[in-house]
Amino acid sequence: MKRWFITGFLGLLILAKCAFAQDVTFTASAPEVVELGQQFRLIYTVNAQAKSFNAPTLEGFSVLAGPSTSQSSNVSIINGKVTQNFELRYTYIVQAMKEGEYTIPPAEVTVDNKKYTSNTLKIEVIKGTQGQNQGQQQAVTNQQQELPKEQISQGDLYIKIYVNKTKVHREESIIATVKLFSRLNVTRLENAKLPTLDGFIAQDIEIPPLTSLTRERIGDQVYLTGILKKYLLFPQKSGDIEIDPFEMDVYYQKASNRRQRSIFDDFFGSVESEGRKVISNKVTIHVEDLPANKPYDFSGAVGDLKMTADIDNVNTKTNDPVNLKIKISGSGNIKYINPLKIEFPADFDVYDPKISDNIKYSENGALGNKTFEYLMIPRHAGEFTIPAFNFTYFDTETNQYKTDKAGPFAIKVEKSDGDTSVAVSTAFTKEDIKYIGKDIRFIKNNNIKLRQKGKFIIGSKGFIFSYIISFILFILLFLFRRKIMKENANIVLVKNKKANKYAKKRLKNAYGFMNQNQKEAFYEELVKALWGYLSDKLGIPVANLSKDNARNHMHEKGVDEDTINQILGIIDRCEYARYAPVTEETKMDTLYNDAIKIISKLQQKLK
Amino acid sequence: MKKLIYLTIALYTVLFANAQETDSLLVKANNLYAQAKFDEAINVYENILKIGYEAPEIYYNLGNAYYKKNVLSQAVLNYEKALLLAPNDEDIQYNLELANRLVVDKIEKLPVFFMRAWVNSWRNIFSSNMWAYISIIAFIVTLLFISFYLYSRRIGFKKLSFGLSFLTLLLCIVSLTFSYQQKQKVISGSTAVIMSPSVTVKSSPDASGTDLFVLHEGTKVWIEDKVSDWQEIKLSDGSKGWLKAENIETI
Repeated sequence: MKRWFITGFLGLLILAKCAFAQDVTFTASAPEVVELGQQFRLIYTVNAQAKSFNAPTLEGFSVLAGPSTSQSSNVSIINGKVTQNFELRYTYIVQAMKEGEYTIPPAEVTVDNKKYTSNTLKIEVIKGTQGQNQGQQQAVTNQQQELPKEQISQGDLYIKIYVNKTKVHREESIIATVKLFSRLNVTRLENAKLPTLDGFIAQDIEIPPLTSLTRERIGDQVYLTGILKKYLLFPQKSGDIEIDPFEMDVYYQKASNRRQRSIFDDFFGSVESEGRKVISNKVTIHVEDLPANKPYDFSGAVGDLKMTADIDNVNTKTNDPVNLKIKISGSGNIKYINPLKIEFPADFDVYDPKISDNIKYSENGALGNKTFEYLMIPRHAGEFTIPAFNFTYFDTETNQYKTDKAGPFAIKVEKSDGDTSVAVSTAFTKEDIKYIGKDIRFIKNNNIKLRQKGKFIIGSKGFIFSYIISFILFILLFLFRRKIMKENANIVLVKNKKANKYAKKRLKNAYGFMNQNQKEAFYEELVKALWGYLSDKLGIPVANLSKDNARNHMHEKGVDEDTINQILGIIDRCEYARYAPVTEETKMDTLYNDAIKIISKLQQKLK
Repeated sequence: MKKLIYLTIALYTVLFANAQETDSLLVKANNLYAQAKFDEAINVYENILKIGYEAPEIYYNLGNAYYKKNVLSQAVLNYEKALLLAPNDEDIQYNLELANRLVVDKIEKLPVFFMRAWVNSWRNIFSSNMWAYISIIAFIVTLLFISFYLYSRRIGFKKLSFGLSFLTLLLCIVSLTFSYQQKQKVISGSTAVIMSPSVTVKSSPDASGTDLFVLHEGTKVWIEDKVSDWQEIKLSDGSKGWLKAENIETI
């Protein structure tokens, strides 16, 4: 009782919710191809509580049972969020009566006083293998009917690889589809051995998981088919490349050999599972090399592609980043496109590009785009240019190389206000000069003094001459000096020789004065005579002569003390006599005679 | 003395008269070089040398032109010639080093006794002519000092000039020796440069001699001996061998 209550409550809750929560969908479903006499289900599904279901008339089919209604609902609460699903199904069991193509008109249903119509269905009825002798009342499925009778042949179960092209250029994409064909009731697929795909870069194309096989008409037979795998292939070498077979273990139901022994066997069906290794066909693809006239900047991009490039900040300041975004879009081997060659200004810090791609692999090949984002940081102010760059690819549509161009981009960098305050570059970094190349130094142009070959100053006439001349000059100077010295010496000699003469002359004068009794003049003349004589004899000028050095000089010359005293005594007496009264000793004639005596004496000693 | 002055003036005027045409050639060659017409520049430089004039700068410029034409052996040869005439020129040393980097043969130099290296470095400060001038001046100064010594009356001055005269006499003799050695280096032709792209050096002056080693163009060698058209060469690492004279050119 309690359970009923809960169920009822839940049911109410669901109904109440459904009434306003969901969009109503109303669909019809049935196999697309059926064999003549085959029974199948025709199901109408509505996701809301519906009233007054109006079935269409089914031409060419007979309704064996139905409509039977069934409903299912589920509620899921995830993180407090409630989602509900509700399904109401009307199921018919229908048998095809005639060959041909039929259209089942839409059915009608009313939900909340609103009418909804379903989709129309197309069903093709073909002549089946089981023939028309099939009993209509047989309730077992067709597979069960045929299996006991027939041996399973190759044709009943096989795998095939399809390709959309067998002749392609290198790097041009091919779609390869691996498909299972079966006329058996396949239960399990195991041990799929995928082809190695040597010589290709393979990319899986996503397909919905194989949950049920679909019916398909091959020739005049209906097969259950399912796509097992789908690849997008990019051939990497030229020549004939083989795609290896696909292998898989397929298990299917097979009617038991045991004949119905008990009523239960018959009732539950006597089937057993059997497996077989199924191997697909091989496919050969002829790959042509790309045309030989490759542009120099071609780097392997193939497909229908396009390049765009833009720069976000053309007027910037030092240390402010600039982004260059290059986008390559289209279909082709986008994933394997390498970054382009771009010559960035040498003064920029350029980081490795940030590469991102957004590629979808589908029946149409690899579609999408790839972007390269370059981050550049100008470190110095100035005007810079990123030269134009090319993106060259092989266009599979026209079988020609094509080039997209972008740029050049001129970037103007100004000094940022607080250039030193930037955290990235420290304020005091000195840069080394970048040596770009090495070359010899330039020729010499200035002050070239040509001279005759093999001529040296050493050993030349001029050289030896200058030595000799300077030496001769030296010698001449020496000789000249010596001569002068000699001459100087002669003067003394002459004076020496004439000393006596002068003295005599003076004495004669003195004698004259004595006779005239001129005392003053006599003494003066006598002193002069004596001094002059000494001066000439000793080679000393009169001015420098004194009694002391006269004595010394005479001493040196070997004059005895007596004589020296005598001559100096006479000079003393003369000077004394000039100013004092005349005594015996200072009488003029005595002095005169003494002077003559001493001079003749000296004359002998000083020679 | 007057005679000497007249003589030198006369010598210079004669030289200048002849040098006038070569000077114009030189200007022409330098212009050609500046216009990157190296082939023509080489021709003109070679002409100047053929007339019989030389200067370290001409060899240097010619070496540069050959370097630009990628004639390595000629470039090295001319740089070496220039360096003999102007042993202390930095540009020549730099370019020679650059050219030597392109020379294939890498030869370890034998270490030189430090005194010898020291003397060499002093000697290489000046060219032969410069040393000759220095020796003359030193000689004259020596004579002056001797005169001072002889005629001065002051004892201190006499002593000083006596000592100084010895010093300057020593300088005179040393610079005379250096001048002579520098000259010998130029005229002796004791060094040479390999001109053939590749030459095999033999153990004896004979084509049948054992192959010792292979030398390549631009390598500098010292000539040791000569037998007919074979020459014995020595490398800077001390190894010796014989090769045909046509493979080398003396600096």
